Parts: sequence; structure tokens; C-alpha cells
Amino acid sequence: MSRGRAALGAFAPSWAGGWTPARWLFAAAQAIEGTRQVRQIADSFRHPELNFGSGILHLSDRVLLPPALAWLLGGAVFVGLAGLGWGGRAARPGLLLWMLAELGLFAGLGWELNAPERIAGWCAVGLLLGPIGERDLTARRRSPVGRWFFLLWMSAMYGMTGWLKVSREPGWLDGSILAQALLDPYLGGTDLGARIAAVPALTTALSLATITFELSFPLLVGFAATNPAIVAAGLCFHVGVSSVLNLGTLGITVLSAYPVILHPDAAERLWRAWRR
Amino acid sequence: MAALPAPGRRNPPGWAQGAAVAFLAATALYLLGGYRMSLAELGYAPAPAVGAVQPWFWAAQFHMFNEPRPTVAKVGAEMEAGGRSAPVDLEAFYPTLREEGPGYARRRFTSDPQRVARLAADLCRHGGGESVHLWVDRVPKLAGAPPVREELGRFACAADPS
Repeated sequence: MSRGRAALGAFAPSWAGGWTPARWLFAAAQAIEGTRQVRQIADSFRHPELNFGSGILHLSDRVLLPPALAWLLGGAVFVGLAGLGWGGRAARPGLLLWMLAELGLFAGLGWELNAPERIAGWCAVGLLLGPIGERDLTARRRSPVGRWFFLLWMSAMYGMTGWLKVSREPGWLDGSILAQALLDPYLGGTDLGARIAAVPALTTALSLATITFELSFPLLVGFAATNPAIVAAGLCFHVGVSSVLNLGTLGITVLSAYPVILHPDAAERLWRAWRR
Repeated sequence: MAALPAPGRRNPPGWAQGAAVAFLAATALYLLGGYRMSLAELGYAPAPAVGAVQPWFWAAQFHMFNEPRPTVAKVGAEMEAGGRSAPVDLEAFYPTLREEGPGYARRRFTSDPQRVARLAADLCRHGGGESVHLWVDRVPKLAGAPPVREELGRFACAADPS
């Protein structure tokens, strides 16, 4: 086989039906996040000299936006998400509008940029690379490049945090860090979390399961044979974490990528089985 | 042998395939840089020689729940006037909470004297007392040990916090 034909094979279009639920889930997650942000706009102007964040490049030192512009950007967040959710020609401009409005709010009001925002940013770039502006994607095949982008950054995300846990932090091997998170009054504090934290063997087992999943993801997600299993494990992982830890929209934002990272052949089989 | 795409299906042209590979390679390098910066931030590696580059890798730093956090920080405040003091409900005063709690309770806030002074000045401006007393109690999450109190300071309301 010539190199040219091999390259064409690698770039062969694949089933694109996963992009539509990904777009919907992402828009829903960010709309939930947007309702929280609306309250935060008012708080920012009550104490404009005082920001609690410490984001990138000292952007969070001061409130820079005038109130009218801040509320306009807050509205633009929802207009953008409506376009993204509606789809078609409105999807891509809607996503870009959402990105610009969020950048303006975070930089201009000194808001803290944390894991949920950075993961939403990676998801948004991935969606921009996909065929989100098209309809009837369950009947279409499209370039795999957008999916590759998701596989790359998600492998880095899981692999990096898993490797740092197993190689540098003994508290992840004996379960104590997980117990601390479950008992945190803000992050955790659920009845179920407190019960789990009270059983050291269980926190150790769940910690080891977390590390195993995070380290396995980059190794298994790229192969058609192992992809569905690791995607299913990730689904269970995020649903489980979201049920015992208060991570805001982090879980649903990450899960919005899952219809895309599921291997297109498996996703198409799933779609056809569901339609039958 | 990999099948060629069927006619009429969209597939990136040659130049776009090269651009896509270059973009993905650049993304991979950026993510590797993020890992290096995470090691530095967690204290496992020396800071990069050019310290100014570190913030630019913020988006690629994925260390979530990696550090032990055995205590929860509870910031306390009292407004003092006429020899009397009254507690201030900080969570009512600053209602925005992130997933990990109020922003003013984070170590990077409480360890920054300028930010603490700004918090005191803001409380003075809205509370109308003569001075404000701030502290942080570090309460162990696991039962047993008593909380440890750290004084953040007593700030005269007339003083310019800057």
C-alpha cells in the first residue's frame, strides 16, 4: 500500500452521529453553569475591589468591566448556547459567541478559572473542529480529526492526573486523599460519601480503581476493541464521582465528549440498535 | 488494507491533512509542557528556567485532587467598635462559592497579606466598625485533632489598606 493511500485510510471519514449529542450535552452543561454565573455577576459588582480568584496572568486582580457590558456578555452566553443547541448554521457562530463572552466575563470580572472552565475550553475547541454545523449526522461520515483532538487532550488529562497520583502521592494509594475529599464540607459532605469515607478498605479500593481507569484510558481508548470498555468505565467513573462530590458541571461537561470519543463503529451499532 | 473513502464523502484534502497533523502535534507538545509545569507547581520538579512561561501552560495542567488536603479552612471575622466585637457572617457577605468553598478561604488568598488587607478594607467599608479582626481555623476533616487557628490580623478601618 502506498504512503498516500495509507494516509487517506487514516483520514477516512467515520460515522459522525456522536457529534449531535455531544453538542447538546455541552450546551446543556454550560447553560447550567451560566445560571450560576448570572448570580456571580451581581456579586462581583457588590465588591468590585475584592476578587478571590487568582487566575492566569493576574487577570483576576480587579473588576474591569462596566456593569452594562458584563450583563450584555452574560446574555451573550445564553444566546451563543441557544445557537449551539439549535444547530445548523447557528451552531458554530453560537459556540464562538459563547467562547468570547466567557473570556470577557472571566477576564473582565476577575473570576477564578478552574478545572471546569479549562475542560469546557478544551471541549469547545474540539467541537469547533467537528461537523457541528450539519444536521442528520447519523446518516453521514466525516473527518476523524475532531475526534482525534478529543482523544489527545482527554488522554493527557486522565493520564497526567493518574500518573501524578500513582507516582507522587502515597495518599492516593492508601485512600486517604479520597476520604478527605468525601468529607470536605464543600466538595463532599454527602451521606453516601461519609459512609464510604468511614470504610478505609472501600476508599482504598475506589482510589485504586480511579488510578487504574485514569492510567488505562490513554492506553485503551484508541483501539476499536478496547474503546467501548474504557468509555463505559469512564461513564461509570464520572457518574459515581458526581454522586458523591460537588464538582458543579464538570461531570456533564466531560461526559459531553463521550459520544464523540466512543469508537464511531461502536457508536453507529449502538445507534442502530436503539433505532430498531 | 484500509478502505478508501467512498466518492462523495468529505475527507480533508492533502494540505489540510498536513495542517491537522501539525496542529495535533503542537497540541501534544503543549500538553507535555503542561505536565512539566504541573510537576513544578506541585513541587516535584524545579521551576522552569524562564518562569514567565508557566502561566501560559495553565490550560494543560491537569492535576486534580492530587494533593492531600486534610483540613478545611474556616475564615472568621469580627467587627470591633467601642470595645465590643460582633461576628461577621462572611458567607452571607460574599455568597459566591466555588466547588471547593469560598474564595477567601483558599490558602493562596489567606497567605497573601495584600489580599487579606483588601478583604478587611471591604468589610470596614460595608460594616462601619473601628477595626476588623480576621483569622482562619484549619479544621481536620477526619475526627480527632482539634482545629488550628492562624491569625490573619487586626486591621484599623481608618487605615488605607493599599
